[in-house]
Amino acid sequence: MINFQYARATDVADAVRQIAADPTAKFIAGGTNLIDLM
Amino acid sequence: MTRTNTPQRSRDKISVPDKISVSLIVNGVETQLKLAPWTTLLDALRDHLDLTGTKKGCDHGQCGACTVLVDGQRINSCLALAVMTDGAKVTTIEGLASDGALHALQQAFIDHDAFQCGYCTPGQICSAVGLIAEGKAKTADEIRELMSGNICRCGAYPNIVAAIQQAMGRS
Repeated sequence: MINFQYARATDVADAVRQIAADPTAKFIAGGTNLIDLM
Repeated sequence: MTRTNTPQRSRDKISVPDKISVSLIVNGVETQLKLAPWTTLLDALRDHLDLTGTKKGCDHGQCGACTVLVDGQRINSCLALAVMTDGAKVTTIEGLASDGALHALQQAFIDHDAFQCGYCTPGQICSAVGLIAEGKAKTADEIRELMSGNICRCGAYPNIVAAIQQAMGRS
């Protein structure tokens, strides 16, 4: 798997701020095969 | 001139992030781990906590062998990052029996011979615990539908359905 960093947002505003700050950032929530692709 | 097969990559550009503290309550035991962010819950259980009852089948969410209960809900642990489950209660196949007595589903699987090789069984049983807690399945058809995320390569499905029906009758 490709190395990555993980950040947990405290609320919606924080989530938007964090994802806007990094063009490579992705949301993850629940089980998803996004993980397969990493 | 020397040739090398080493790819021309700048290692300086790859920064390895710090490990993250994760606290889990696994089968009733409080557990603290320091994990890389990309560690799946499955790998945390198997490789860091030596709970190898949970099986790695396909490792991409198609077979259900890695099913565990997180806060009572059945999930594919191969598709969950351990860091995402920080603070959660995790129940694996190792945590179902209590006081030396098998869980009703474990006993039912034995009674109905609901496995051959047994590789999918921990996932089948954890999934069935979640299924019964959800309370949606009443008929055999509904059990088959709602257990469809758990594949049995040996084809023990009729016995698995019978075992779940037996356990549902008792719960």
